[in-house]
Amino acid sequence: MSAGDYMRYLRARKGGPTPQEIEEATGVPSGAYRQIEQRYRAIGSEEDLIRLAEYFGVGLDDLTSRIEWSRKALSAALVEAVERDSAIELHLRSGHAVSGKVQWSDLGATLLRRQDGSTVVVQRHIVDRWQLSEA
Amino acid sequence: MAQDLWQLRRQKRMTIDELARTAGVHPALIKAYELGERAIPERDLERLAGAIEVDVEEIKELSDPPPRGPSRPAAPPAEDTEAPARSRYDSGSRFDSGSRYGGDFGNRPGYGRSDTSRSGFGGGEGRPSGFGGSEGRPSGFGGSEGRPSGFGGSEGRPSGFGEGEGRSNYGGGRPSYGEGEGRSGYSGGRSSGFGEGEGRSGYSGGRSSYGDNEGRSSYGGGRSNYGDNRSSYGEGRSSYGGGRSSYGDSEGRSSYGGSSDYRSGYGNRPSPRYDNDRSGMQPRPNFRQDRPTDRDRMDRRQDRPLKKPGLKRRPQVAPARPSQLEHLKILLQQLDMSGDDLLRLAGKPLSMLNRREASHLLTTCQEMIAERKPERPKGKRQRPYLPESVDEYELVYLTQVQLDGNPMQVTLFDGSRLEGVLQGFSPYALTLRTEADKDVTVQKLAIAFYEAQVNEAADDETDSQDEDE
Repeated sequence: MSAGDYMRYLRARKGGPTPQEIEEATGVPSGAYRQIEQRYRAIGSEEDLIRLAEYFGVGLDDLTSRIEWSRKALSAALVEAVERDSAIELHLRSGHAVSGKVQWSDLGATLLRRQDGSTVVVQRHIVDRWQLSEA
Repeated sequence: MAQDLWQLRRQKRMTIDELARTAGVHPALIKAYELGERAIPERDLERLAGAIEVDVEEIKELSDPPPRGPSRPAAPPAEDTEAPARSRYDSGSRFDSGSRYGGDFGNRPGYGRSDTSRSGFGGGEGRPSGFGGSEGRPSGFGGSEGRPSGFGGSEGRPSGFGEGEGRSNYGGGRPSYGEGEGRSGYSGGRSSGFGEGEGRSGYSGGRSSYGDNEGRSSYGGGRSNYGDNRSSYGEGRSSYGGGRSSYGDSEGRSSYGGSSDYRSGYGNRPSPRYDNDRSGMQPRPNFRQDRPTDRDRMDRRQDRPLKKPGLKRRPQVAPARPSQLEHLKILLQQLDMSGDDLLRLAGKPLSMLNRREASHLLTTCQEMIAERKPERPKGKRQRPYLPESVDEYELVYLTQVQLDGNPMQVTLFDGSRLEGVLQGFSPYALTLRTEADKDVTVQKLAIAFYEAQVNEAADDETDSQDEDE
């Protein structure tokens, strides 16, 4: 899960304050929070991330460690799984783990076909970690 | 000895602008004077002489243009080596027709060789000359019958410009200037003078004459003079024209020579207003046919000094933009090119590239990179590396689920589950009808994953359509 996805998750868990409310509460520059959340990438200064981590009640490492697990990195892993025709195991923020071969993936979701033939659509924003299986 | 204005100015190490400021003469006029495009009128002569701190006599009234660069061919030498070299009429290509006049005038010496005259057109030293007087009497212009006359004089009396019955022979014995029974050679449309043979006056013809403010021809502009079709006298910006000039100058400082003879012809009279006063002139005949041909114009162009030499420069190409250089560096890294490779490719270091060269180099590098990439298999759609640009798969899937009407199970991020039949969806939400026949809209942000039964045949069809694309 990217830092942006994670913060959207944290925002939802906190009751859904608006980005403007978060910026006013934390002193993050106007528009910065929305950019962090929507671009799905690691942006924003360390000072802003510290303020946001305090606001959401999580550790700073919890935010910064997600930089390398960005949506872009997930996209690369999904493409690689397709090219290698191998299964991928997705670890979700909800605690679930879903495994299967990638049938498609797009902006919001990816369809995996399990070994038993059933399909499951996983929302990308909930993917925390992933791991490619050997073919 | 008089010198060209530009020579004197350079000797004084003055710029044109400085001279213009000091003398109170417009710089454009000074340029025209220096290029020989215009004769310097008396008033400006005095001002310029004062500014340069020389005597008026030291400045040529009509300058020869400054020497040009090596790319311009030098003017061909005059054919008539007998002609004096001090007058512009025989020194430059503008009046390169020494032989013409000679021919027209019965091979007489060109324009006169008078020691007393400063101009080629001045009187002759006792010899009949092209324009000079005849019969041993220096005359301003075309004296007749041995008497000093102004111009086309008549019967030996000093006269202005050819009134009366002056007979002079410029045209090999033909009556000239004054011919025409009392009509001035200048004004008379019937006078023969220079225009003899074509029935028009040399002086008044064409763009006329003395003091034509346009500075065009003098003796009738155009071609008729002396029967020479390419005329010389009237050509271009002759000194006769020069605007104010010449004959009316009471000090005899005209282009025609300003000799004593000339002065005697005019000097003691009120300056005749040949330049402006045309009241006594007959209506101008239609000289349309005398207009210079294209060939004449071409000749003029060749003879005309360069306008503002040095101003026509090749446009300089700006140095390469920083963004171009940055892009080049990235491409060169991708190509694993070293500095030596770059030098071989570009011929110079990056920092010395101009914008155009950088653009060419960028194109070259991009082509090289494209050649290195393996060709993509045709017919197979390449999935974008960034799926953020594609959001259609889930839409197609949900559409199929909705059409099938099969129930779907949604697992939310908190682990709770929701089951129902899909009623509708948007990019951000799903609406399910639960078993209790209640519609529930769930934000996708709250969903972890969902499962549904999809008609396989329809799904395959969707896949095949996708592949066709």
